[in-house]
Amino acid sequence: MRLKLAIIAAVMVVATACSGAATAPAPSSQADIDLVGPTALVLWHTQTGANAKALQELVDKYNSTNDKKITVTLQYQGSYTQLYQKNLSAIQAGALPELAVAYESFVADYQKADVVLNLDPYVSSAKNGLTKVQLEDIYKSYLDTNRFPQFGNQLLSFPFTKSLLVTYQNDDVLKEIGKTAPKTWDEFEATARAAVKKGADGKTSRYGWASNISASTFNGWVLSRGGKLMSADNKTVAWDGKEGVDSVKLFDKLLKDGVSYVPKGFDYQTDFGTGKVLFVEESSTGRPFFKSSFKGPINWSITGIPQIDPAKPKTVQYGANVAIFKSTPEKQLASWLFVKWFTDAAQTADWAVKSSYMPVRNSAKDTQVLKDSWAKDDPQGKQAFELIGASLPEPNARGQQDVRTVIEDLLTAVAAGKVTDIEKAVKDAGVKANQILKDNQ
Amino acid sequence: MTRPAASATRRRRNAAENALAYAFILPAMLILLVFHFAGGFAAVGMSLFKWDIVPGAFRGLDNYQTVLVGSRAEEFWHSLSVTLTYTLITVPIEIVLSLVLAYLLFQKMRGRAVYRTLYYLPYITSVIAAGVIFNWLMNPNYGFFNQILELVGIGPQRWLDEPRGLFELMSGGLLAGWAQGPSLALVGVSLFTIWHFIGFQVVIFLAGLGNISTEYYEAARLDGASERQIFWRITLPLLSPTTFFVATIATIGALKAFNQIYVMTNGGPLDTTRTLGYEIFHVFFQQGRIDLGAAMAVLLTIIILLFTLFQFRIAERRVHYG
Repeated sequence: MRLKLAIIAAVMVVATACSGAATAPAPSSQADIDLVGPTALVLWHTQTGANAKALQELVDKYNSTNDKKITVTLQYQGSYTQLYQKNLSAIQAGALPELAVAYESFVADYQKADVVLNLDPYVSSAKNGLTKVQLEDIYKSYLDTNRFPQFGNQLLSFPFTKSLLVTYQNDDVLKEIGKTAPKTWDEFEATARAAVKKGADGKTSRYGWASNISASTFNGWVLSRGGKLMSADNKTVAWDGKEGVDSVKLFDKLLKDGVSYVPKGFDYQTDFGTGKVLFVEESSTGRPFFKSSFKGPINWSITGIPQIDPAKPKTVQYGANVAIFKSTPEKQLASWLFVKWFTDAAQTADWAVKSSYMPVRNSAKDTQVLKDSWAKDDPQGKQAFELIGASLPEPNARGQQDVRTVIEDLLTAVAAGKVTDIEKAVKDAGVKANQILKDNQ
Repeated sequence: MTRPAASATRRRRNAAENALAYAFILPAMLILLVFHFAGGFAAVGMSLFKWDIVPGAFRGLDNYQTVLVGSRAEEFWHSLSVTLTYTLITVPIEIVLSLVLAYLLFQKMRGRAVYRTLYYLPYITSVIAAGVIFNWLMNPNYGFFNQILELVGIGPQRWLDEPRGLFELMSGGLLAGWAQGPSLALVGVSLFTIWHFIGFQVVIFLAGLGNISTEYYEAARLDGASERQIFWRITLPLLSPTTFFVATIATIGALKAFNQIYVMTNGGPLDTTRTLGYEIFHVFFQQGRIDLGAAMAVLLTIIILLFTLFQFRIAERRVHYG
């Protein structure tokens, strides 16, 4: 009995600590308060190398120029998964930072503990919010992905590091085989087949396609075939239909025919740079990594992924957002003001040039810094930017991380030759994914 | 000095010695209490509540039911099966190899200290750093392991990305079910584990070999025993306490395996390397299901305890203490 009481008491202590972190929902007036004293904020992020340096420069600029005495401190927390795990621990301990970079599925998990700030009152605040023009300047799909039907359709995060699924294409190889950029999946298959080259030893020296095992890429395939990822009520997956089956069948067929291969890690970047593969489907953010793998000058470009209907192209939107955690009204407002500043056209353009992420505002294309970058160093960045309109968000329902594993396990099993009936395998994966979503309601 | 006075002095001395002994073990006890026992008791507590990111209602043993026979049973039993397979691969090979190496390194030879150091080096290397390097060595496209296979006429393997069974691959896909054997990925992780931990076991065996009195060997040689007879009849039986210790430590380590899985495969491909230790981490930290993760952790502790008790029962009959 004593042990039982001790356990309950210990849990109550933790529960109290957690409820302390999750303060009452902010009234809309909290978005209009005046900031008087200095406000210190901590932002947990995942950026490394040049991106981390660029982010620090932007934050330094904000710290030295904002007139509200807001100071943002960046804290690197490792990979996205590590950041997520640290946030879960911080929720238990009631020690969350003011802001954290997060994928949509992470935000859904955090909100289970009711710790994420609803940004709607801040966005619509007459004093500190965004004007209608400013709001419309941000890509709709970037905002849509941060609205959570599971939580009353609240805007729980804001676009931060956005990108999209594109095709990296080696133009030299394309020229050599006398083909043009494929628009449809049929053309893609024919072009990829034509690119395959074998050496004197009979081994494949060039593949048509490096087919990554990635849930996001699969989602892009489904969208490009006119499919949907989730049902209308957002409670079950919709990728387990014909579009999903066709996607997996092509993946399987090209692997078995030796037209494609499954690369290990990021090997596909080196393979692309050394002309060992014609097409790679990857995030638009990978541009600098592809470039750094080039052994000599090559001609390459970024195009949209193949479509079932090229007149209505669709691809998948990648990238993370930034969530603001509930704290004091002053810190919440200060956090929002920083996020708002960061996504202004000037800053988002600067961030886009330095980090290779897509700018979150359409008007960024008119900034000199982005124009210069596209003209001199990064023409492929412009090619990717022009495809943003075709990008659609991935589902943000709770449990999505595990659904991604289900998709990737399906593709891994196909690649390993362990699947004989693809239709059944896709259907079974859908059943498994739906159970995960149900368990996470 | 009278007898009662001498007795009182002895008692005082004993009390002082006891106090000193307790003072010496206090730091270790504190560390154990804070980082092991407190955590263990907290896990037991967590496992009795609904705790999905945030704590909820008291559920009694419901979480254990979910893990053992409910919606999480498939994952639990699968990861336990992977853990046992991994233990069965690594522990016997580690014991045999480390014993052989220790026996060789115990002989008088030139550069013996250098060899002993070399075999011990992997153990003091960070599991994370060494795991990353093994990832490179087992790269399907550029890895050293595949280059070696190519030299002996075997085609490239996907190693840590290969979910197919070892015997399935060797038979060209003819085998099915359990006969396919552990995935090549699990074999890859096992190879790394053996490489990494063998140095520690060699050192333990070397200490064990050093404790065997040379008189036994001299007597045996005088009686005309061959080296093989000496090994099987003297060395091995007298090493049994050491072998038992090595087996116990290696089994506990294998049942708890996590670091190498985390670095090398993340439990994949197709969950073929998802040990129970990794599954607990996944459920607890990656899914935020504190309740189910804690229940699994308590179950793993019980499983390890049962294994250890079983080993002790065996030891009663097979271990000779000289």
